[in-house]
Amino acid sequence: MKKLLVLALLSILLFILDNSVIPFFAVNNFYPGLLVIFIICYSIVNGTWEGMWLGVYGGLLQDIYFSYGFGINSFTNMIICVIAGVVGNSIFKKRRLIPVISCFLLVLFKGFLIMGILYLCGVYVNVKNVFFTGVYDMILCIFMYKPIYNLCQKDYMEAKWKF
Amino acid sequence: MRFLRNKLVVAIIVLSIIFLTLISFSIKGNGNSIVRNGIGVTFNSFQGGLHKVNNSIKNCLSFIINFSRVKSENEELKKENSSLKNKLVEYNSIKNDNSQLRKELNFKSQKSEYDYIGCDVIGRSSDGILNEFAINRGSKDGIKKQMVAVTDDGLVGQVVHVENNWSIVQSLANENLAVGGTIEGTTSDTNEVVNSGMVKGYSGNNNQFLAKLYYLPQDSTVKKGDVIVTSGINNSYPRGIRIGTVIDVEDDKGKVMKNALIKPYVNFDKLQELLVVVPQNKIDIKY
Repeated sequence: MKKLLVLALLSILLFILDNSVIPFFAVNNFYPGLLVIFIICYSIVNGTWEGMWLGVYGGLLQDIYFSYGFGINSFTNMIICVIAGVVGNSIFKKRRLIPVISCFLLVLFKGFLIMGILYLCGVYVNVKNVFFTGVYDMILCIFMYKPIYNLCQKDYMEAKWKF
Repeated sequence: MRFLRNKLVVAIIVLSIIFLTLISFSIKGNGNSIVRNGIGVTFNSFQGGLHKVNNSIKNCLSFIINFSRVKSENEELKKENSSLKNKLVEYNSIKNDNSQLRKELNFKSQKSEYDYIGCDVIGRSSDGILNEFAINRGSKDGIKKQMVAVTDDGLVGQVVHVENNWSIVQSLANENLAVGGTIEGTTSDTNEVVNSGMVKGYSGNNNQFLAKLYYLPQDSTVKKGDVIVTSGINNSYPRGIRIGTVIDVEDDKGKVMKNALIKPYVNFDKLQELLVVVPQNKIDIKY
């Protein structure tokens, strides 16, 4: 129970930071998304099943402020979290090299998925935006992966979800 | 059908179907829902406060960093101010004449057809890929989709999504918005040359927020330093809102047209307050 509460509140906190604080740290008007990094790292550490649900939850939050098509973020987050979980199953989780690289690739992948869906709806997204957001996310991921990994090792976080 | 026993695969398939239907429905319709509205309202109060605090910190910091520039700018402004004061005297007399003449002609001035609603920016949305802002007014205050947002500097963009008491504005920096634009001081009736085209968002080399005026004819008189205003074509934007200054003109040899690169007056990076333009007479002006 405590685990669910921690995850829910942490996601909401990161989401609010994403919308109101992070844009002020923009480099050349590109700024990262903390929530995306968090769900990817969490999925890598905890596997597909838990990661997927956290990804969907985070996506629903992001969709609140997304003007085109409610559900785009949830859908794309679900896909990247499942992939992140698969990646996480086959690596040594204490090292952060592969998680960081896969974070970059997955953020790019999410960007391109959103771009594709929006393109079908006649909305154009700048490719540069997607790419540089990915780079920025990767740099932040270097610092965020260890804390997230440590968080997941805490006793109350070990409890398995029952669905 | 062995793979259906794997609950992960089943969950993925079910969720995908749900989300894809959600996406397609919300793109077709307005995408309004009670849940989204309610959640948005709760987040807005937190976010709005944080956004404001950060904005003031940023402004403060940039003042300190750019102090020398601010000083020289101040000198320049003083000079400009004095010259403008001289012009103001002239302007006032002309204005008096004008209002007199208007009264006589029973002219309805264009700007009075619109009301303005003041809004605060409470956050960015869509992770920065669509250049959108959330604002703290919504359909309760009379805001509708596709209304125009401005600041006292100039045009900002268009409202793309409306909830009960918040909405999302897409800025001109995004290439999905198009505005009819023309050069200030020239109207197509008096000149032989048509100087109006279509303004669209354009991101420059350093990802600066710029805009571009497309579809100008080859013989257009556009030049550096010209002021671009909205032309009011199709009644979707009020006429005469300032957009920006021309910083470069380029030839499009393929289309036999000229394009003008525009630097918008509004700094989309530092937006804090907006005005949403609401037409008073909804029958006259189609939004």
